[in-house]
Parts: sequence; structure tokens; C-alpha cells
Amino acid sequence: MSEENTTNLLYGYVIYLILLLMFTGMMFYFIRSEMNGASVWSDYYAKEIARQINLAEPNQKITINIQKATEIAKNNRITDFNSTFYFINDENKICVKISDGKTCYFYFNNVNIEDKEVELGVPENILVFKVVKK
Amino acid sequence: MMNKKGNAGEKIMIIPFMIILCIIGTGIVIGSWAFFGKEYDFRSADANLLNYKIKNCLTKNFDFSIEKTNFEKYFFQKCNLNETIIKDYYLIGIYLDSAVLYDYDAAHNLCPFSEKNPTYPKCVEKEFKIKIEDKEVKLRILTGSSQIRR
Repeated sequence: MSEENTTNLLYGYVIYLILLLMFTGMMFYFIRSEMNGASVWSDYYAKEIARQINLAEPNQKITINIQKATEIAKNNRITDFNSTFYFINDENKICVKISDGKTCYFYFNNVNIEDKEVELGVPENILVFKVVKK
Repeated sequence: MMNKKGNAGEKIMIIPFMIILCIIGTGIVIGSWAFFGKEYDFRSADANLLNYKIKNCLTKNFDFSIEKTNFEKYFFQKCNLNETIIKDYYLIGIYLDSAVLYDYDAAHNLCPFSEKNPTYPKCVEKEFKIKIEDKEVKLRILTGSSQIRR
């Protein structure tokens, strides 16, 4: 076998190997992000927070334990915990982002959310916000 | 001159290889979503909560004598409900004895199908006895939610 043929053969195998490694990497990343339950937990938090807002009376202060959400966010390399929970008052919407994707849910109580704060280590991480009339 | 006979066949083999990877990848993604990605169905709880809010509102100084044309505006204002969100994702039916006080999106027509079809809104129906001008009447509140995560 000539040297040129051997090089061509190796080159062919290298392409397959690179494609296989890329595929394995993508699958590993996908399964890892699904396995830490980010989508289930963000869904859970968005809906539970919407429920609390729907039940709340104006001027009520709400405190929610978000320890689990911050742990998942940290595993997914999100370090700014303030951005993991955000409210869009114009649309009556709460969004939770603890991985690459986000989950949003609407609340029907006609209120605005103000003074949102994430407090760390009290003794666990908590989200505090105030419900005010629109 | 270089002999290229048979070279194309070797390069074409990348196509079945990619197809196999796609099939395996799709299988893994579908399997993972089926296992981990099922939505936490909140529609019944949401409909229950809306029912509770409306009941609380209607039993506290609610003016039932208001004209039918102004009822909707008064109802959303008095009960502090967001009209846009309610109209997009919820159903509301309010009935006093046999009279229809308010029925948005034909709640009474849609709700009976919710048990047969999981994609239909989940509904909750509750009845109460209330006093209006010293007369006891039956108040029926029907609420439904079709909101899913986005």
C-alpha cells in the first residue's frame, strides 16, 4: 500500500471519529442537563410562584425557598441568581431560568410585583417580593 | 494520471453514518423527554384557585343588581382579575339559580369534554348558597384553565 493511500484511509477514519465525538458530546450535554431536572424544577417553581401571587392580597410580602432552584442553576453554570427568577409586570408573567431554557407562567391576579430580592444563606436561599395593586 | 475508481463509494458512506447518528440521537432525545420532561399539570389547581377567588369576591359586597352590559367590566375590576390573561387562558361561568350571569368562552359547553380529552381545559364547578336582598339563591361558579407552560 502506498503512503498516499494510507494517508487517505486515515483521513477518512478521522472524519468519522470527529463526528462520533461531536455526537457523543452533544448527547452527553443534553442528557446531563435533563438529568439534573432543570425543566421539571423550573416548571414547578414558575407554577407555584404564580399560585402564591394569585392567592395574595395587595401589599402582601411573599417569601419562597429557592434553595433547590439555585443548586440546579449553579450546576448549569448560572451564577447570577437574581436573574433566575424574573417578573414581567406588563404581561402578568413569572419566568424561571435555571438552565439554558426558561419556563414562564401567567398569573391572573391583577397585581404588580415589586422589590424582588434573592437572599442567600438565611439559612437557605430565598426569594422575597411584594405584591402591589396595579 | 491518478486512478479515482471507487473513491466516491467510500465518501458516500458518510451519509448512512450520519443517518444512523440522527436515528440514535432522536431516540435518546425522545426517550429523555418522555422520562424527564413531562409537564407538571397545574390546570386543575389553577381552575380551583380561580373558583375560590371568584367565590370570595362574589360573596363580599358584590353588586348583583348591576346591568348585564356593564357586568363584565365591574366583575373584573371588583374581583381584581386580569381580563387579558383570563380571556386567553381561562374559562368562567357564573350562574344564579338558572340564570346565566356571566359565561365567557362558553364554559358550560367546553367543560363537559375536559374529562374525555386531555387537551381540553380542566374545569372545576362549585355551588354555594348566598343571600341577595334577604333571598337565598344558588350560586354556581364554573371555572376552567387551559394554561400550560411556555
